Amino acid sequence: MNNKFFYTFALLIFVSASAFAQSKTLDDSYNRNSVSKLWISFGDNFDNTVKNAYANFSFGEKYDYNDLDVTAITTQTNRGDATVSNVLDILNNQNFGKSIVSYWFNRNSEGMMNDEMMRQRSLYNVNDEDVMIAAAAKVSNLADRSDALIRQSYIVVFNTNEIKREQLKDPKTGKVSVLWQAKSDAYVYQIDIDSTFIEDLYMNMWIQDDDTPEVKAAKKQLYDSLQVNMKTVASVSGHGASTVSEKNPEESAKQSAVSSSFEALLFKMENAIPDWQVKVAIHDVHPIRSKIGTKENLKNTDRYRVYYYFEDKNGHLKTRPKGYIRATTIADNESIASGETPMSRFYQISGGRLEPGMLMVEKKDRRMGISAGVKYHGANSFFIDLDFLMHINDLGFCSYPFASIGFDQREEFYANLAIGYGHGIPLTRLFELMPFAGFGIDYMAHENVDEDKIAQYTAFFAEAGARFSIQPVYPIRVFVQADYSLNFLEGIHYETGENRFGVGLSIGLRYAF
Amino acid sequence: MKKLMTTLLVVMMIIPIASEAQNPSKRRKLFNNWNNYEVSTVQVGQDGTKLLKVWGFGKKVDRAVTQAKKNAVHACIFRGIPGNETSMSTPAICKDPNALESNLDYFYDFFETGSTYLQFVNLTTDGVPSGQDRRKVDGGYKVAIYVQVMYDNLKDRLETDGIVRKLNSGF
Repeated sequence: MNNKFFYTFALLIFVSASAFAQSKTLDDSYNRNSVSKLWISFGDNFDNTVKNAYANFSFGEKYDYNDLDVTAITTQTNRGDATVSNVLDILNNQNFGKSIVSYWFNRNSEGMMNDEMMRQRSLYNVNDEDVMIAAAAKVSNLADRSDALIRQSYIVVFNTNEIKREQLKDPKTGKVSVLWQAKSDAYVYQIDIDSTFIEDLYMNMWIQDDDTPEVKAAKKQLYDSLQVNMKTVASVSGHGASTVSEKNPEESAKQSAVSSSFEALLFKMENAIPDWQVKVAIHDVHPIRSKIGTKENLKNTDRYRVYYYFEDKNGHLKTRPKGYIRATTIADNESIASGETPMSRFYQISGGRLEPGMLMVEKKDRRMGISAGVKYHGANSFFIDLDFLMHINDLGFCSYPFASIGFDQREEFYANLAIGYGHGIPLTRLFELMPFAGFGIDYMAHENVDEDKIAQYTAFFAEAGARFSIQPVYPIRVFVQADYSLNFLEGIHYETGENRFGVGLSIGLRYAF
Repeated sequence: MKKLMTTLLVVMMIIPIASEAQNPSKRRKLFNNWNNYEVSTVQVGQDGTKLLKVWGFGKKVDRAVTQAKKNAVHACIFRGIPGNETSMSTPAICKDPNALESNLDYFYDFFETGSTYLQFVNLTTDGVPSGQDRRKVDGGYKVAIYVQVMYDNLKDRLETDGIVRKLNSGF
């Protein structure tokens, strides 16, 4: 048992270390992306529920919005039959790409266009270095860098392809509970144009005030016959579920199941599309600061990976990861760069020495950690914890609410559940001390126990302790833990096993994800 | 005592020789750094200036940045600046290919770290070079910086110092 345990963890460490050592070449440019969102109407009873979830979905400040006249696409297929490719066909048949171009240039029914929005977005996109270079240039062209922005226009189509109601019957009591489940996909499509497209638009389709009526008509006709296709860039899925109760009736449970299936979609889209990941240079390292903030939707605990560029022996440019950092203090930078953009602060959670100028790339994670450990004394022989990184401050102090499940085989079998709170104190980048406290319920398994008598076989317990951990390779920590637990409010049939409470000593591993 | 006196005498004789010997090696190093660097025009600069992206190499990033600044000024004086889609190329201020060798002392002082060349170059990079403009290479760093070179002022200075002939000097 012990050997298996050891080899599994050794393999985990090896796999992580191998992934860490890979080198590739990353693009270091980042431009703001613009999105349009659509939902698929199948014409069934669930349309309203999906429409509400769609309406509440927000991409945040990080994105510009191309508001199209249409918010839904309809299909004759059944819910569940729409695929990423046939949605693409619908978008291209209805020429949504051209609608995006028309929105960018505010094209009216007479075919007149203007570049006001494009200039505003270009200005909002520039960084301090662009401003400094523009100040030294004879003609400032800060507002003219729209090509990349237009090419980074996307349509996200939400396809809730499964909504189902399930009745679950408890085999012991016969009690029936109702569960709503939903599965939603987000299909991401990018406008398929190249750098010559905008030039062609300006030259041949842009109607000038002094154009003759014939020229105006010809340009308008050329634009009207324009086909702008979209291309598929990503497809991600999310699941949601909600149980019906008195406080959460049928309609509400159905709605929350669909809404929760939307929740993780943005996280998955951002991880799947490199252009959606913010890239920026480290500006300072004591403390680590960078010129991003609320404009990029940066939140406390958001994770970035730091890379540096190097040339190999053949002179090829490559990128190598150097470490991970998390956002701590977020700057409000929602204004046009002036050369003095405020900076957000970060705390390094892994890796080697970081230097100004290294590249930070957004790599969001779920901010969770799963720990497994064995205890030599105390309430559990084996336990699994799930923690959530709620907050991190400038000094790296972390707040972790956690839930724990434990098992103990003595003369009787025990299982318990606990919740608690831990406060991570970084001693160095590698070492962390986490005092914690929690409470839970311990159940002594016994044959033929009626549900209404389970309470007689349980006891409450409280625990407090400290976990000391070392991080040999991110995202794995090895820990030792000392704690003290105390049981109280025991049921009449509950029997405390020998040495089950009191001082406990554990060792284990934590994997962050 | 005699031994000590002899040692002191030898040391006193060696020190001046060693310091004299530093200069040629320093010079070689200074001029070797100009064998190979890249420079390009970013945009049309304000009147009398050039807006350039120039690369430099150094054991550390700050030394590479210093070298890149020298390279920017060197390019304006000796190499000329390539054009791009929005700007014409600019010829070197010194048309004479032997200008460097014939004014070795002048340019050695001119390009000594932190000296005259700095009067003609303004950094427009935000902070230190970053991303692909900051590369670790064998033996150090290769960095690119964005600089504004005060081209007209530089040319005037070289004319005033007699390194370059004024345009009207032939008439």
